[in-house]
Amino acid sequence: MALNDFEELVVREQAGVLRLAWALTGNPEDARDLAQEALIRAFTKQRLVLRAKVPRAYLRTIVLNTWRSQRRRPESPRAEVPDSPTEDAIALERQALVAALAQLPQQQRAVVALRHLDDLSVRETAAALGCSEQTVTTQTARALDRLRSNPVLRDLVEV
Amino acid sequence: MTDRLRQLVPDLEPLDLWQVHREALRRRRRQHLVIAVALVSALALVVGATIRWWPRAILAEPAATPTSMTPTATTCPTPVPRNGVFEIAGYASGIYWNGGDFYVLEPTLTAEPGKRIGTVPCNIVDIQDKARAIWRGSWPDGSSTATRVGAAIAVQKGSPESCRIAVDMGKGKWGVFQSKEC
Repeated sequence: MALNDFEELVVREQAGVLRLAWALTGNPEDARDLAQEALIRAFTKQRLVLRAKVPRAYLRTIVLNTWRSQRRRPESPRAEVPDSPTEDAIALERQALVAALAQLPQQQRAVVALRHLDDLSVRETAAALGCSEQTVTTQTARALDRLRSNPVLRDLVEV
Repeated sequence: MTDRLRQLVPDLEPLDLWQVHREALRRRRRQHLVIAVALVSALALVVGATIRWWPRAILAEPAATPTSMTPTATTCPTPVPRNGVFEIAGYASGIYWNGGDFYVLEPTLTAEPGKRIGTVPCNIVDIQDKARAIWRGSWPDGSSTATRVGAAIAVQKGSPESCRIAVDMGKGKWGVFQSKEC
């Protein structure tokens, strides 16, 4: 059965949506739950998604709104604990990233997630967040400054 | 830099999009159901508010060409379905008296029946529901949707008869009915 435009969009963007969800939640299980809930919501309003100026950005907006609506209280850093210390060579950096992201304000966290983990352009990020491109640039710079203050991440975030 | 940060994102197992789609359809159906129920409820409220005071038969002006009527011993009209279409009216407790519509006031006012001034000749609900039709002509004085045929009608002490009357509701209870003009 041929996929319609919306289904094609979801198939194409699913990996990005999952990456964004991981950046927002900090662990794979919550990320899958968030992505699934967001995509269900997107399915129920697929005409709006397809009519949006930047459909892939609107899909991210739904993810962000779902995430915001699910947050009940300020979170503490909650990185996943690897099964064994040697299993994942980048586990330490990953935990540091999750902890650092959790310390960022919502907007900066979303900007980093969209720009650097989900790989959206400045224009698409601005569309997803409903702000100007200038704001995206400013928020990105501030967020990266804060990430650089983490010694584990300093090298990763160097330009 | 982006590539280095992206490498930190773990490989996440793809979602079952078929399941996502199914859940979305289920939610959409539920939303439609909720909207339908809300619309029906709103419609019912509007209809209920429109007809809550009195059956259409009482409020309607006599038809220019009344539906066929078979006179009975009590002179109550016998409505018949128009064009073979059955109709069921909505009712509120009321009585037709001296050419006016009176509505029940209980329990806001206690009945104090005085001089008897008549009896109920026709029970509108029984007649119309039995016929599954609505009488669009006028009803005899005392016809009621609230009480049985033969129930006593009396003045309400302290009130003019044109404004309030007391009606025997059965089992020793009386109800006060007030004209809609008062």
